[in-house]
This record gives sequence, C-alpha cells and structure tokens, in this order.
Amino acid sequence: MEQQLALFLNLLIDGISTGCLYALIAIGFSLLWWLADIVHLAHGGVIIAAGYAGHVLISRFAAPLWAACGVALVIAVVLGLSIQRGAYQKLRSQGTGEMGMLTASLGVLICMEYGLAIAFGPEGIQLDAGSARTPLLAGSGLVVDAYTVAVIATTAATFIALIVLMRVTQFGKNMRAVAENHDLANVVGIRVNRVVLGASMLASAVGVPAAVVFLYGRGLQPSDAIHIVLTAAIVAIFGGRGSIIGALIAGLFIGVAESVMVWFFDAGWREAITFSLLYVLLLVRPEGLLGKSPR
Amino acid sequence: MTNRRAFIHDFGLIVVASALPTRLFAQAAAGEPRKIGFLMPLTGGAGKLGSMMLEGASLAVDEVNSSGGAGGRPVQIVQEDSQAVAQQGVAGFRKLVDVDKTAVIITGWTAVVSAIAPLASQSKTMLISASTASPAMRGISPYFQSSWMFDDETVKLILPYAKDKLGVKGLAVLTVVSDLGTALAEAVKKDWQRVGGTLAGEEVHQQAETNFRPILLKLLTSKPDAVYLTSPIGRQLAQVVRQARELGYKGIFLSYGAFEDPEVAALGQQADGCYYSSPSFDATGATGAGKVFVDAYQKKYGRLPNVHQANHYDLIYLYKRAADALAKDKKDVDGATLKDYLSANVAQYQGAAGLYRFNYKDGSVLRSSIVKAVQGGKFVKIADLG
Repeated sequence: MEQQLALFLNLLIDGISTGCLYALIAIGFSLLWWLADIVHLAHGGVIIAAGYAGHVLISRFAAPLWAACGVALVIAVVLGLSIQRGAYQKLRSQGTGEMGMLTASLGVLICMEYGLAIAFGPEGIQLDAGSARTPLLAGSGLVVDAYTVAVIATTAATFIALIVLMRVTQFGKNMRAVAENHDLANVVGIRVNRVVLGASMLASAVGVPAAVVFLYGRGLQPSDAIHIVLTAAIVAIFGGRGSIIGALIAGLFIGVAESVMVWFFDAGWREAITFSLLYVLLLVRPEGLLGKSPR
Repeated sequence: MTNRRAFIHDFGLIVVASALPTRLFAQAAAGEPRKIGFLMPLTGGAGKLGSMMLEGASLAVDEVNSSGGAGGRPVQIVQEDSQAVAQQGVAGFRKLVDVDKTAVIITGWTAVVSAIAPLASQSKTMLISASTASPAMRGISPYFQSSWMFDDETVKLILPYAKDKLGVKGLAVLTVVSDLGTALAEAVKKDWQRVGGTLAGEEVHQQAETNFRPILLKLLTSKPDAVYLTSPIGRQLAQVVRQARELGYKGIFLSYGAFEDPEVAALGQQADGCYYSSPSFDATGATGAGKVFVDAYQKKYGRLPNVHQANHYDLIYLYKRAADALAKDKKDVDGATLKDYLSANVAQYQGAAGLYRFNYKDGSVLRSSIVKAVQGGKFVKIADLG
C-alpha cells in the first residue's frame, strides 16, 4: 500500500478509536446536563475511580476482566448516587443556583482527585493490552488490532443499549419526560428525584467502559480527571444537549479530526482543532449538531 | 556624681539584662535545625521520581544529623510539592522563603526553575538542582547552581555513540512543547548535523499528552533508526515507548537521565533498546563514597539506589561542607555566603555519584558520563562516555 495512503488510513482508524472513547466519556456527562441541568464535572472523577477499582482487581487480585468491570461498575454507580444525593440534591433543595452547583461539582471532582492520589499515589496506572495490540492484518500496513475492534464494539453496544433504554423502557420514557419539563413530569406523577437519581447511576455506569479503555490504552492518573471531563463537556456541547446520537457523532467527529489533522500539521497542536471546530459549529448551530433549538 | 553612678549602675543593669536573653536565645538557636527547602514534584507525572530523589536527600540528612549536623546544627528538609509546574513552584518558593525562612532550596524541572530563579536572585536564596537539564537555564541566576549536566552537553556524548556504536543513521526527534524540550531538540538537531547524521523526522507533543499514536504513526513513516525523546516525565516516556512498540516500531530510543524512571523500567522487554546518557554512577559497581552511599541506602530502603537518589544525597553533603566551613569562620549560612563559599572553594566535588566540576559563572556542571540501556526492565551500564 502506498505509504501516504496507509498513514491516512491508520490515522483514520486511530481517530475512530479515539472518537469512540470521547463519546463514551461524554455520554454520562451529557445525560445529566440534559436531564437535570447539572454540569457534572465530577463525572471525570467517577471515571477515574472506576478505572482504579478495575486496576486494583486485575493487578492485585488477578481478577478476570469481567469481574473487574463488575466491581468498577458498582463503585461508579455508588459514587454517582452519592454525589447526586449528597451534593446536588442537597444543594438544590437549599435553592443553590447554577454557579453554586457548578462549583460544588468542581469541588467534588477535586476531592476525588486528591483522595485517589492519597490512596493510590499520584503516578498513575496502566494495564498492558498485550496481544490485543498486535495488528490483525499483518503485512497490510494497517494497524487495526483487537483492542481497537473491542473499543468500537463496546461503544456501539453502549450506545445501542442506551437508545433502547430511552425509547422502550418506562424509566427511559420517564427520563425524557423529566428532561422535557420537570414540573409537568411531577404533576403527572413521575417521581422526579427518583428519576434523576436513576439517571445519575446510569451516567456513572456508562463511564465504566471509558475507564477500561483508558486503562488498557493511555493509562489513568488522578490528575487526568479534569482533562477527561473537559473533553466530555466539549463533545456534549458539540453533539447537542440531550442527543445520544449527537454525542456519538460529535465524539467520532472530534476524534477523527484530531487524528487526521496530524497528516497536515504538527501533531502537538492537534487539540487546537477541537476548540476551533467547536467555535465554528457554535457560530452556525448554537444548539450543537443534533440539539434542539431553544424555545 | 550620684547621678553618674546611678546612670552607670542602671546602664550596667540594662546591658546585663539585654545581653542575658540574647545569650540564652543564642544558645537555644544553636540547637535549631538549619532548614533546606525541597521544592520538587511529589505528585503528578514526575511525582514518583521526585519522591525517589527525596529518599536520597533524606538519607544524607539522617547521616548528617547523627554525626554532629551541618555547621554544628541539625539539618531539616522542608518539603513543598511543585508538581513540576511553574505556578506551584512559585507558591512553594514563597512559602519556603517567606514562612519557613529557608536560605537554600533544592529544586528542579525547567518550568519551575525558570519561574523561581528571578525570585531567588531578589531574595538571595541559593537554588541547587540535580534535575534541571535545559541549556536555557545557563546563567539564569547567580543564585542557581546545577549539579546535573545540561543537555546540550549530554547530547554531545550520546549522539556520537549512537552513530558510531549503535549504527544509527536516521534520527527522529520528538519534542515536548516546553523550555526544556525546545532547547534540547535544537541541541540534538545541531549536534546530529555536526556528527554527520540524517534527521529523519521531527514532531512535537504537548506536556500533558497521553495519546502518542497519531504522532508516532506520522513520525515512524520516515523509518528512523532511532527516536530521541525530550520529555522529562518518566510516565510520558514510558507511554511513547509502549505505544511505539504496539505500532510495531523495533528501533532505538535515545534520551537523557529522565529515562531512568520506574515507569520505564515497568515496561519490561518493551523498553529494550532504550539508551540514555547518565552521570557515571553505577549502583552495582560503586566504589569509595559511592559504595558507602549504596550500602547505607540499601540498609535503609532495602533496594539499590539510582543516580537521582545519589545526586540528591550529594547535594546535602555539599551543603554540609559549605555550612561547616562558614560556621567555623563564624559566618551566617545564608544564600549569599553559601554562593560565595561554593564559588570560591568548591570548583570540584567528589560525591557518591561521582566527580562534579562546577562552573559558577553560568550555573552549569560537567560530570563524567556513561551510556546506560534498559534491558529486561533494568537500567544497565553499557559503556563509558567520557
């Protein structure tokens, strides 16, 4: 294969894999933003904590991946629930405004970051993907490996499950009703607080695949939390509030753009492309790719 | 006359009364520790390395305190976590100088040193460093002295070795966007050209980068025999090596002392083929002062030390030497006297990590160096570099 074409295709593959990761970290953030008007910065801390839980199980207790994922899921859900009950709902009941909630979420994120650094050290964790990183198409010049395939498949499964949950189940319908109008949902008998609690648990749970992808890919360290949630926020805004498909498309779009721009420019500046794209999009579609226009 | 006697009497009492607490105070102060600031990354990507460096310094402090102290007083390390970030470094410097009243600070990392050097000049605080590699730090302050060779000197050693002994023809450079990275990359390119090598490619990355795959995909299309890495963060170096190996790159990685990091060692066989220049300290074959240090370190921590621990052990003993001499001459031990004493009396210093030849005019140092490689997750001496 011609070298430049191979480079382009490899960058595209890497971009899709990166985009899937972006979509996975964004969807939980997007969910709470849409449903409860919460800028859930602590989501970055939940993802990191889930990653550490999985890492402890695998590296210290030689647990299989499925067991580690299970424990990470429990940890993430408990954290999501605790943050919602202990911070957001309490503050909201006191009449705390948007900035107060944002500050509280940032505070929780920083506390989680420091807590993890104290408990596990600041240096970070990583797991070796081993043979999952061996190219599947040896000799073709393409660097598709089992890890990349697993990332794409996990992302697809997560998003399909979410879409089904939203459209088919009563819980999903309740979430949509609450997101549409809290007061009206309350009047028709939907227990809004309970739905928001459930959504918090769900948002945290869908962060677990992202944590695992990080663990076997670029690794995690406590101080990554803020960067993770910043990326999640950009993707969520880009995709449009309340749009699951929007978050997926936005994640893929940004991931591919960041990766493929390396073909043209110095790689070190590729994150600038993310903010440039966001700026351009907000100029032409302030509501994001698939978000609804403000009424 | 009475008045004069009364005046003399009263004056005498005042003199005695004022002298008494001063003497008592002076006696109490004799036991107070001399504080040495330790402004290093203790958390973050370089936190593990900074903590390791603290081990070396702490061991020396224990030894110094159990053998009479420095200048007749015990020594105390006051830690501040710089996170290798300028802003944290400045905050830590302010606390060490304004609150803890330290006159000498062990510090490191280019971002931090470049931020605090002007403050050190103003406050006449002596900065000593065994972890600042950027040639941009030459002459940054008369109160800054490095005991770690700047990298424009180390590349002059490792690059000819790579070309002649490792057979490297095409070299790629991966530059971290920082003072250190930019200055180091320039030095590498200049020296590689000088030795007649071919620059195969160059890419840059941000300091917080974790995904190097797209960068490496592009860089490795030029099929370099070796890639020179400029990041000072062990975790980042390990990520580059791991991700390059995952992409099938089997070539050589070159770097400097930052490579000697547990994160790189943890890569195991993936890190085979990583070569770097280092001061000539080899824990397994140490002799003299080096052997004394290695034995003491092993006794305290139960494992072999690395060059960074030896360097920071030496910094404490360098301080002790100056403090002893200044106290003997009944001089204060502060930043200015320390600087003057060192520049006048310690052109060379034989420490546990080898011989240091200081240049106080620009704050640099020359040290005998070796080339080391990672083999099976261990850092192994390969050859002497001169």
